Amino acid sequence: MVTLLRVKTEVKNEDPIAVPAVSIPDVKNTPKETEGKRVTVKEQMHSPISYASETDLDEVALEMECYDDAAVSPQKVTTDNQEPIKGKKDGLKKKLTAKRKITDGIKEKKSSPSMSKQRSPLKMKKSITNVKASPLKKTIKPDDHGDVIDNPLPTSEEVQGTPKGDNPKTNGVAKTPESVKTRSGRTIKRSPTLSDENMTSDHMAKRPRREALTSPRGRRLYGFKKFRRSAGSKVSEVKVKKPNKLFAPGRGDITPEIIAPLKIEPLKDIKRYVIRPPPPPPPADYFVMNNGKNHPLCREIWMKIFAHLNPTSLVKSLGCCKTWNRWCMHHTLWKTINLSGKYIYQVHLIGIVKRQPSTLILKSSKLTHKQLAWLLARIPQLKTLSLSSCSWAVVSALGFAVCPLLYSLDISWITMSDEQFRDIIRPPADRHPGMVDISRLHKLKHLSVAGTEISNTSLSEIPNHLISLEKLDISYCPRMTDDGIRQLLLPGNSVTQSLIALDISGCTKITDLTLKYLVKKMIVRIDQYSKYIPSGTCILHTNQEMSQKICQNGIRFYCIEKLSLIIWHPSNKIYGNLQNIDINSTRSVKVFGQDTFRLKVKLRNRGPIERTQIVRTKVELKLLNRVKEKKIYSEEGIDYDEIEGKRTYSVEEKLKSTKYNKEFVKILKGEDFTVKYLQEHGLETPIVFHEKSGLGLRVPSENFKVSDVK
Amino acid sequence: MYKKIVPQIKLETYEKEVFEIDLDIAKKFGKLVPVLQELLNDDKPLTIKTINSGTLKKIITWCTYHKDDPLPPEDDDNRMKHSTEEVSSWDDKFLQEDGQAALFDLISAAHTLDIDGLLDVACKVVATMIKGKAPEEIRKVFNIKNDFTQQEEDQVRKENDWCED
Repeated sequence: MVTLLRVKTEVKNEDPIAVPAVSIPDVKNTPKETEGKRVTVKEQMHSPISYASETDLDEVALEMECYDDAAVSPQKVTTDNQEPIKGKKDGLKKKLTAKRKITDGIKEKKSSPSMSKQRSPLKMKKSITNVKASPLKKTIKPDDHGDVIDNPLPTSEEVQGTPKGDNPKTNGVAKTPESVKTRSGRTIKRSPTLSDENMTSDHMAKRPRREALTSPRGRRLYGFKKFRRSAGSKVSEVKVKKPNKLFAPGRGDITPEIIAPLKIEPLKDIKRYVIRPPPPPPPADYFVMNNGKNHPLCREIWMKIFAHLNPTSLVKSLGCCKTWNRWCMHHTLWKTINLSGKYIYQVHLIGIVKRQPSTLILKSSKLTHKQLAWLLARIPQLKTLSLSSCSWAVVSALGFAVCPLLYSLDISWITMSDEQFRDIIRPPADRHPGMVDISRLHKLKHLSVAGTEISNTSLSEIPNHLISLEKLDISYCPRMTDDGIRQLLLPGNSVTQSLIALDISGCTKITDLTLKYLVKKMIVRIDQYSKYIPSGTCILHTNQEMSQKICQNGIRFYCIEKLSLIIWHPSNKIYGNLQNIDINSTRSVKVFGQDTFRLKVKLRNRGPIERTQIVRTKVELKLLNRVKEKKIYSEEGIDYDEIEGKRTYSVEEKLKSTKYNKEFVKILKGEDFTVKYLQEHGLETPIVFHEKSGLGLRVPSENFKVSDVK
Repeated sequence: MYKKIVPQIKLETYEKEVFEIDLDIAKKFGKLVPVLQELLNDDKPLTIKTINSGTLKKIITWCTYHKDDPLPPEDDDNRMKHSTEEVSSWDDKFLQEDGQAALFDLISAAHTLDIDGLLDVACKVVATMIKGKAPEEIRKVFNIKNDFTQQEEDQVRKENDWCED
């Protein structure tokens, strides 16, 4: 323990006669004494009432130390003379506080109840610490001139051992740790015994040291060992020197020298740098063959080869050699990881994080909320996630600030209520500083909530949060009604503008009233959007009844530019009627059904064509989206071939080239790169900072050495 | 554009042997085309030291055989589809007939000359050499030095077992 015995020192200083008296309680109270351990007794007089609530023993000990230091100061000693010197002989017997500390993890001795009772009115506290004999301690002898005071730098065993041994005792005294922590040098000032005149140079000498014992964050560290780990080197240097000086004989010598070095380095002035481990080196370009030579093919070609492998073969390749192991872990080879229906263990999670897939399918997987939350925080580039048929507890992990900015989310066939759905799509409850109120799913384009319990309430919430939704699947949600669709597609909603596909099949409560909202809005939308998505897809997944209504009502799709209309139901028998629909300019019509049928479609630009299609799956969808993406490329002015032809990625080069407009990178100023920016955009495109100012980056000076890092 | 100027281009290999190649065939050399264009007016052949004569011969053979192939699809989805297609038996036989070293030379050359079709097919052939084999067998096929200890190898296997279907 950090302790020092006021009693002892005073006795030594002032009254050699008292020495035997000091040893008496030691022997009595501490069994360890006989084992060659030094026992220190600490006594505090006139402790403020608040002291009674202290519990944290380390803290208490530090507190006492200071207290004692002050008390030992010359003035203090003189003032104390009347009481203590007389009192010391019996004082240790009488005035011992109820507290004792015994380190070394040994149970403390119990002080007799009678003694504690006597002392309690005096509000005195005493701690007895059994300190392991240390070299420093051994130098302290009774006849030393006085500076026996304390061992300011307890050994690690002392520090660690103390709390364990003390806890039971302190609990008995009913001290609370909080009050102790607030106590610092300041409390000493307030204490009645330490008037200004008591604040001697000795005391001042201690104060900086206390500051040094404060960790950078202001939390006090109790042990020197701990401190050395966390604080700057200069401070620890000071600390190391200190004991020697403190233990130089003669208190008078101490004052000037100690004050100076201790005060020089207030911790906050020390520049501190966060040193991160360097990133892993890039993988080797060649692997070594048995004959010691490099293989003729470079990594780039091997990656092309690996791209043709399935996961099973990739795993085998992983085990071939270390170089292949690095190569085969590349995220381009693991774009999709499918763990449907599997039990997820730690090894899966680690493996997924290593591979950084952009698509993760956890359909019906057995995993826990905690696992998914851990995972989502570590795969920021995830774009597509399927949690179909998982439990709600798992899905709820999406509602946190660490959730990646997803493009596609499948949470179908989950027992999920409106409130629970809201928890997912609204801004996360946990905030990081600087975050704005924006949902983590605001980038979401495809959402499937099929087969859930959500109702109109949720549909009305969607436009507020999922502002870029393009494809919504609410099939088999029995509680949906027409009003929900109306609220979803209110004229002012961004969703109304962005939505291009809606699946309402199996929603038994939705009637043809919906068509009023649905069709009209969609026409409007597609016309506006066609600039960007020339082959916009309007997918009407309907039941048979509605399909008939569509046709019977004679809804005409002729004004839908370049629309692909898909009407699907397993028992769809309305093909004849479909012919009545005029779908001029529509790119293609795909009717998904079981029966063979023929459909004549007039395409304005191509003349009449005849198509026969029997499609049972939704594979066609992909083809449509694909065309769209290609168009986007050409619109951005980037020739597709050129991207492919570029073998290396050099931002500088591309920026200089006229072939690329500047859209593929974002040029930002440091000030604009905020938490809000990250929240809204993530790191989708490369960001270029022309200047590092404003980024808050600090680079160590040239003199910075490895040895400066602690 | 370059067609009308000279019908043939000249390439010099590592062995200083000069090949004359029809431009129809040279069109397959994606990255090289602009370079060749510049050199068309010169009589000096383009020297490519990384390619030996045997390999270039094979490349010319391949390009001649495939010169009427449709251009590979441009967009991603189709490319993926394309890449899963089986290697034709002619290609397979052609690429494997001279052994592994020649195949790797061919791949390197195809990479240098930027012949996508050939590179793609050759990569598939190599991939089929890997498919369905255990690590030990793969090492044997490609003469890979095993720098894992037994312990590490077990560890790797344990960590990645789950990816297998």
